Amino acid sequence: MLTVAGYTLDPALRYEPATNVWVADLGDGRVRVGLDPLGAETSGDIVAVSFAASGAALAAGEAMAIIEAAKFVGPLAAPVPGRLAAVNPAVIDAPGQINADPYGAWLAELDGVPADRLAALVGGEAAITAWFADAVARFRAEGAIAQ
Amino acid sequence: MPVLRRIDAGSVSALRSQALWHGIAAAMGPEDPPVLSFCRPEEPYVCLGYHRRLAELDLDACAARGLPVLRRQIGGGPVYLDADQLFFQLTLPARRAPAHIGRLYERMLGPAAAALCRLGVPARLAHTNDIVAGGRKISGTGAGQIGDGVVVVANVMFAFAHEEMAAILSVPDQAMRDECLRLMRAHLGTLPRLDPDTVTAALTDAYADALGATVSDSALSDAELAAVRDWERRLDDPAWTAGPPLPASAGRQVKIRAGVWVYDRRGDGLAVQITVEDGRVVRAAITLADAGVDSAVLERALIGVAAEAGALAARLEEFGDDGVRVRDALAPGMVVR
Repeated sequence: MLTVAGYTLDPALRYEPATNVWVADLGDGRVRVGLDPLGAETSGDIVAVSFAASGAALAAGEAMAIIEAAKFVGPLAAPVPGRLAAVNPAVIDAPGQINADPYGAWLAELDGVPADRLAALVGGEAAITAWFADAVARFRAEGAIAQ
Repeated sequence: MPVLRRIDAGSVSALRSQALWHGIAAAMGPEDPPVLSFCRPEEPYVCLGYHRRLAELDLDACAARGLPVLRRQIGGGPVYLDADQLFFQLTLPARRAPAHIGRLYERMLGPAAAALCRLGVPARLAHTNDIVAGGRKISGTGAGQIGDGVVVVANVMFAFAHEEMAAILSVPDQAMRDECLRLMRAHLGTLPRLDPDTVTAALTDAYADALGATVSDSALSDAELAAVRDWERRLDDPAWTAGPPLPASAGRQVKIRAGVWVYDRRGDGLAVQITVEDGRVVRAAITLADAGVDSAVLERALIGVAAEAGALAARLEEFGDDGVRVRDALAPGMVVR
């Protein structure tokens, strides 16, 4: 595991920087996704999550889930195009787990993900470190997270 | 100088009072100026947050009163809305909205509190997204991202029909309904000395100041109007009103404001109902079949305890299996929405 600016990051994962979503390559075009620790922290205490219809074909950027925290309801965008193949029932029943354990509390699995779209996400220790350090610095400058 | 578009829709139907800001947000582009919108519903209705169960409402009571039920795409619980309330909304391009939820409310609701202060109301933001004055919540709020727009929604209550609000809730018994009514009267505030025009002007000035913008009075654009009409159709669709699939709920919770709620749980030879005010249990009613401990003892033990799982568990530990049963029954009610 990597520690960047006080946050733990898994270098085996890829990351979508705009939405702070991690992506695990499960092979054969299937991925598992969840919120990274920065995404989980800035969202606030998550109290509900609902998902797009099972089997839905999602474009990258299209809402795969709707998340609610502190009376804010917002979409969580699919980090890559794919079909919504599975959702994690544990986070539907206990959405607070997304805050408590961002890597364990995965959200959904997509299949039919093009390899080039997966490869385009941030991956590898050097790239992850550079991106995440910059993101944390920016969030701290904005007052979005504690110094 | 940046522009703040102001759209004052005036008195509108229940459906339009919700579709208005859904549509403005849905039509917002990443480079568009912020929009401060206002409206008042010309008819009373009931509105439910996106992730809330329709079963939280007594739909027969709503129908008997002729109250439409609309589901909004922001958070929060069921609310009774009528012409004694002014609705206002600030919509920004999502890329300009703070990433952190707390900062978002500070930036987008802080000016509203400032405006009320200028009108002599000692208003302040509390508990992330409540606007309070004199210990009472004076504005219901919620927020969301719709399309590329982030919108924060709030109201100012000039009067509030507490009895109507209590009547449209689905609760397991009259004691809980009475308790909800008592808490609403004690913890929700109204601003009867203010009038909508004065508040609208003060809010406009405060948001313009906060955004460093000049105000441009505006009508809905063609794209916004189309989006509003699209949202009217969506909000009027029974499938939308039914809401997304949600997990089964454990018990019934009614939150009045941050730190104030009632929770009821029944089953397996046990019935528990507690009232929480300012984060502490102030009332407990327990019926426990096959118990070794008198229920009244358990009830007294809970009074004054902090309403969070750890504190309740610690307090109930001395009561053995009976305490464990009560602890487990209450645990879901400590997650407050």
